[in-house]
Amino acid sequence: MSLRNRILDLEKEVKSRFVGNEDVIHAMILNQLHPRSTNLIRAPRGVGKSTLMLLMLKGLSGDDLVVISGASEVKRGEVIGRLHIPSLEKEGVERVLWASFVNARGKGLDEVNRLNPYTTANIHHLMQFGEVWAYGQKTPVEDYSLVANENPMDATSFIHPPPFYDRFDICIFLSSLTLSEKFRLQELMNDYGQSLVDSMPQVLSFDELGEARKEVSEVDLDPELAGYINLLVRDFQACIRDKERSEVRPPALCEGCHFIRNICSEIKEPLSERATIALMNLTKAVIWLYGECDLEEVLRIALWVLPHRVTLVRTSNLLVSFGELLVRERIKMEDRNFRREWPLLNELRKGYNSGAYKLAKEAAFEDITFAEELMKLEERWIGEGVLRKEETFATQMGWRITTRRGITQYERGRYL
Amino acid sequence: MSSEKFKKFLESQAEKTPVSIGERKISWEERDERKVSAQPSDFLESVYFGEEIRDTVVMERSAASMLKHQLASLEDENEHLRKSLKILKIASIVVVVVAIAIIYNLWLLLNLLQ
Repeated sequence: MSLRNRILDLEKEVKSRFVGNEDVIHAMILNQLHPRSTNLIRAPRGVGKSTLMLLMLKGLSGDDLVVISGASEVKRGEVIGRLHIPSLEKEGVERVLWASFVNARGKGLDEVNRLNPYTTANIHHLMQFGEVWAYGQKTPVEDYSLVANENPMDATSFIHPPPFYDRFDICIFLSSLTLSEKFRLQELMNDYGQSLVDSMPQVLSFDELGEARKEVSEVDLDPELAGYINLLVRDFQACIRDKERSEVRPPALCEGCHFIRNICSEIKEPLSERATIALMNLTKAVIWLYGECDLEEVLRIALWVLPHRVTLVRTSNLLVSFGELLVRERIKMEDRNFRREWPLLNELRKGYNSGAYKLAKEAAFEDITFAEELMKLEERWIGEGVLRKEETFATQMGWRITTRRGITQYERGRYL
Repeated sequence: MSSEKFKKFLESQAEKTPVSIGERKISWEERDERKVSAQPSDFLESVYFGEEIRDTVVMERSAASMLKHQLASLEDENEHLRKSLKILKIASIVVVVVAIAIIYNLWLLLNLLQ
């Protein structure tokens, strides 16, 4: 059986034991197809977070899985490692016995919101660097699949730092079962003797998963899809008032801004570049598994990648708000096509043309991401003596671009 | 600008929607390949593709929310501008009154000096 069929089989096996939330299972399956996969499941209590986590990990790694539970007392020795006392006593040597959580291929974190900050910090380091430290010694961690779950509404939650959550490739949300789904679950429980997780087989070995991950990593993403992904992420980052460095945050920062009705004004904390990596990995996984992926699919994927990485200015329902933002993003992309922004930039990249530049300036007036690229070209033209500084769009709008240590920064003229 | 993939992205977009750049003019062809049908028209398509609006117009909930949000923002901005206009009107009246008072005082002063 081919690797693709095994992956599809895994999805089938999980779906045959987990009722509802089918798109969520699909997302998790796709996210397994790259090294050091990390998944976060968010849901209210009793919706099936832990069951889904265990089903996925069992299907991937069989018994080679360890679950750390935030609901129980977690000691450092159980998560990372402990000192080997006989070595210390007899030889005076500090030898670390690495915990089974470190060595296991399938890693589960139950109720991650209840994990104490020290344990969280150790796991954060593991996800960041692929290694763990204890007693001044470190060890690399082999490829793994990590699935965590949490109920953010839980009153006993620790507030973990946003960079910790940023290390999770995707965040999926489970909803409670509809009436018919409840009946279906009861039937399933009877079929599997009340033990859905125990009945879950290991569908593929971790070596096979590693092979699939390697094949997915070799998928060459076409420039158009890569462009859409980068564009999507940039639109969720760009701010003409440089919110990344500003002490004042939206919505106060956006007061009187020309782009007040753009997506940027809805975002308090911009997106990290990890979102690009996650989107690229998932898009590659779709292409590897199904042979193709289009912009609509990328936007659907974005709904699993963005919500835990971005803080919105106001929201009543996170998924609905992000759904609306992604619809606006789709319209924005269509508007760009309508204005021929990228063909114009392509022409201008080859050389200055006053007609194309005039149209590009009009487009840049409504599009920060495009304006950024146009302003870079203007700097080049000023250097070449083709254009005078006072004729540029940047000067006319009072926007300025400066590059310091490779970081592109925009500042309004009045802030200088 | 130096990234090869970025160049390829721009080229792929230029290939998909080509523009013709002459010495004095830039032009492109609008390709409308959508089929005309008796079905209800989509509101966003009519806005962004210039498609003819039929008797029945459908709109997705998310699109309606977005429009509602944009209208609310525009209303806020209108309100803000209306307030600014009112303040400016009052300020201009004050300026005119002060100017008239100054001119009148100067005229009185000149009359006294004569």
